[in-house]
Amino acid sequence: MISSDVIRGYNDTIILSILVSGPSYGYEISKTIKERSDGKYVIKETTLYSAFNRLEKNGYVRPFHAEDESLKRRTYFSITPDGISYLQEKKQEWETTQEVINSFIINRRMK
Amino acid sequence: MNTIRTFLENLFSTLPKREDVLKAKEELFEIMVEKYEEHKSAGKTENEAIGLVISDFGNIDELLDELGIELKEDDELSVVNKDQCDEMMEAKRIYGRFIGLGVFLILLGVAVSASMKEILSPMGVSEHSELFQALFFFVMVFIAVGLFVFSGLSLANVNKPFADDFRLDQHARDAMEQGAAKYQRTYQIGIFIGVMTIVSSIFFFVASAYIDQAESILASIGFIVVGLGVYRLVSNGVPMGGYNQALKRGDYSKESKERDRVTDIVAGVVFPLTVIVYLLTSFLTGRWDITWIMWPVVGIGFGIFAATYEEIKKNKK
Repeated sequence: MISSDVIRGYNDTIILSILVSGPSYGYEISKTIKERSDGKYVIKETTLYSAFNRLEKNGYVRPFHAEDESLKRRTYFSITPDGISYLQEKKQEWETTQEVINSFIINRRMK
Repeated sequence: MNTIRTFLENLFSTLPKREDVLKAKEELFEIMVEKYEEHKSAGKTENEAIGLVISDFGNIDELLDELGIELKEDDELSVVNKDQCDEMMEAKRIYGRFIGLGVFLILLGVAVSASMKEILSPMGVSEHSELFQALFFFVMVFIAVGLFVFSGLSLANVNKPFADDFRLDQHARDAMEQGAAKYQRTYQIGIFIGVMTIVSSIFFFVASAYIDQAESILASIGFIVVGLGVYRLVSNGVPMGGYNQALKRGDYSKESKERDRVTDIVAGVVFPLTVIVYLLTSFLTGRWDITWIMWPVVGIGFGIFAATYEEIKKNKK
């Protein structure tokens, strides 16, 4: 299990990257996160909803109501063009972050 | 599923009933129920499934931050005890009677001024009736304003503990809840009688339009009947307002407080303006027997405005 403090800054990025492959709804997203992380990260409901709320406010996702195969009405979210470019930015940022952190914590060969 | 509903309702019970908050609650419910069903179909027992869902719920503070809600802790609020409640309620009862009486006197002023000629002529006074009309009306307004100011001032002090955020101690809460439940019936009967009295005044106004000989006398009786009705409404309504204020219900609930009070502002402009216009036209034309017509017109007009405004507002939500 991963601590929510560490991952906090990347919840939005995780959700957006899931939405890139198509619209989804709350529970499905939460399930995808759990499955793709092999159960190492289970996103809390309040965290998930707060992220939706924030993403919607910033115009990165658009909510809409639709029915799924079992005719259940759900609130779906789809990523917007703004959301896609924000995701690109965050991907870049993550690359850099990773490099920076790695440069400290991975044992480097003595030169 | 009921457990999840109860869990969310409890958690959200102290939050303002804002649109975004209610939406959050429903969305969370949606997600939680699906999770719960998934656990169930994976063979978990009812209790296990609910336990898992609730442990995954997270921290409500995170959501509050996101929605920009700040909650005051209960112990940060000032505590109001039963004596303060009793004092406030007693003041409200007196306040209700005084305000009701004040409104009645103003209406009496309009009523008597409208029929001043008819009242004076049997007494052998036929001149200067205009002077008496103005004088009587002013004396009534003067007494009424005195009543308003005096009762407002005497209420202000005992109302202070209820002005800011406060909470009742247990004893006070029990007493006020009991009191409100008991008063409910008196209140409803009072409102019914008050409204019926006001409605019955229409009879006199209509009659005054048809019976020429007694035109202004009938209108005057109409006004006095309205005055009686208003007295009943106000003297019963104000104490109920006191209970609502102490228990934070109705107009004093969080949602209501946040609503802007457009109707209050409009009333604050329209009615003083009507007083000025009424006095001016009455003085300039000397037709006190007819100028009263302004009052029912403005009153009904304002009533229609207020009702429509509230309705539109509700529908927008």
